[in-house]
This record gives sequence, structure tokens and C-alpha cells, in this order.
Amino acid sequence: MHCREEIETLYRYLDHELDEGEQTRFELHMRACVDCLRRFYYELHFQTVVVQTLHENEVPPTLVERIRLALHES
Amino acid sequence: MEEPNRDDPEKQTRIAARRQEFENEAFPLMRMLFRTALRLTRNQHDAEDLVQNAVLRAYNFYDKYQPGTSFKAWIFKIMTNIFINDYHKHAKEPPMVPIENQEGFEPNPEKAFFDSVLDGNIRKAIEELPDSYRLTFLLASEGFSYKEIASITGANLGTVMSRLYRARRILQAKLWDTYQEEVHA
Ligand SMILES: [Zn+2]
Repeated sequence: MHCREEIETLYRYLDHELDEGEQTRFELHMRACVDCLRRFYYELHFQTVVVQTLHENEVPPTLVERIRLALHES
Repeated sequence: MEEPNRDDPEKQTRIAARRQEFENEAFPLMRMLFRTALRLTRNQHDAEDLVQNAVLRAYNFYDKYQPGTSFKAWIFKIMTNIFINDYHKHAKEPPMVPIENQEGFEPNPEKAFFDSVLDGNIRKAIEELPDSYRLTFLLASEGFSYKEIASITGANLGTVMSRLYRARRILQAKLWDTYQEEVHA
């Protein structure tokens, strides 16, 4: 990783936190900088795997029912 | 003092309509609230309690919710506050891995090693994050913006970004270690 100054930009890009100008500038940078491009795919991959894992859990139907009952009693 | 008239049909209708409105907002978020609570409290029982407390408290304070703002952010903030006040202070923090050790880790984009890391290892690594990092990371994983996370957790933007950054680095380093152990086992 030779491009440390861009790491914060990379994260903000990944998190959709850049404004339009910053986004364009960073996309241009990634065309020229293979380090940032690779790092972007690495982080994207990481994020995808983590989100998939976190989103596996279903909410127990008994909990939903208990809450519904409690709301109707209050 | 006048007793509230439970038989007042107009009032009953109003209450029922208001409750229905609340349910329409809150129930679609239940799964999201629960999976976040599960990773925050690290166990099913506390997670169910946390969600139930949060939803009931949100209902009791529903008149404080500002229409037009994000209901999702509002109810997550309520759940976060309950977690911080009621659970966090009783919970034992897992031993904190010094950040310096983690900062030395350089991601290796050549190897798509995450594919081979088991879900259980990912969940465990997340649960071992310090509370403030875990909370920030989980909220980001639910699609909240930095600004929303700042408002939900009461931290400033810079702190949110630094917690998120560190959470990711710690997780990646930990998963990389696990992967190395498994490959060389
Ligand atoms: Zn670069």
C-alpha cells in the first residue's frame, strides 16, 4: 500500500460518503492507482461477506408476537 | 380528576389508528433491530429483551418522534441508549487487543481469504470488538450514514470514522490470523 493518504477517501467512497466531485476525483485516481483499486475490491469484498453474515439472523416470531401483545395492552 | 373514559369510542379509534401507524413503521424494522441487538448483547435472551424494551419505549415516546425524519434512526437511537445504559455497564468487556498490534497488519488484496473464513469466525470476531467499535460497525452495516451514526451514538463525525476504521482493521487482522491458523493447521 503506497497510497496511505487515500485510505480515508477510500473508506468514505465505500460508505457512499463522498460528494460528487470527490467521488469523481477518487474514481479517476483508482484508474491510475492499482494499489487503491485493489484495496477497494478487498474492502468491498470484506464488507459484502460481513454484511451477508450479519444479515443471516431472522427475528424470532415469538418475540414479534410478544411485542404486538404488549403494544395492545399498553 | 376525570378518569380516562375507556368507553369513549372516538378516543379508542384514535389510539388504535396511532398504534397501527406505529406498527407500520416499527415492525418492518424488527429483524434489523434484532440482529443488531444480538451482536451487541452477544446472546439471544438479552437481545430479545433489548428489542422489546426499545420498541415499547419508542411506542411510549411516539409523540416525540418528528415526522419526516428517519424513524429507523430514531428507534435505533432509543435501542442504543438502552444498550449503553442498561447492558453496557454490566457487560464484561472482552480483553482489548492493543491497537498498535493491529495497525501493523497490512491487508493482502491478492488473496480473497474472506471466502474461506467461516461465518462463525466472523460473528465471533465482531462480538469481540470493544462495545463502542462494535456499535459503530453494526450501525454502518445496517446502512446508516456517518452523520446518522454520530447522532445515534452521540459521538462526533471524526470519532465515528475512526471507530469504523479501527473496527475494520481489527476484524481484518483477526480474520487473517484465523485463516492463517486454519491453513497451517
Ligand atoms: Zn492510490
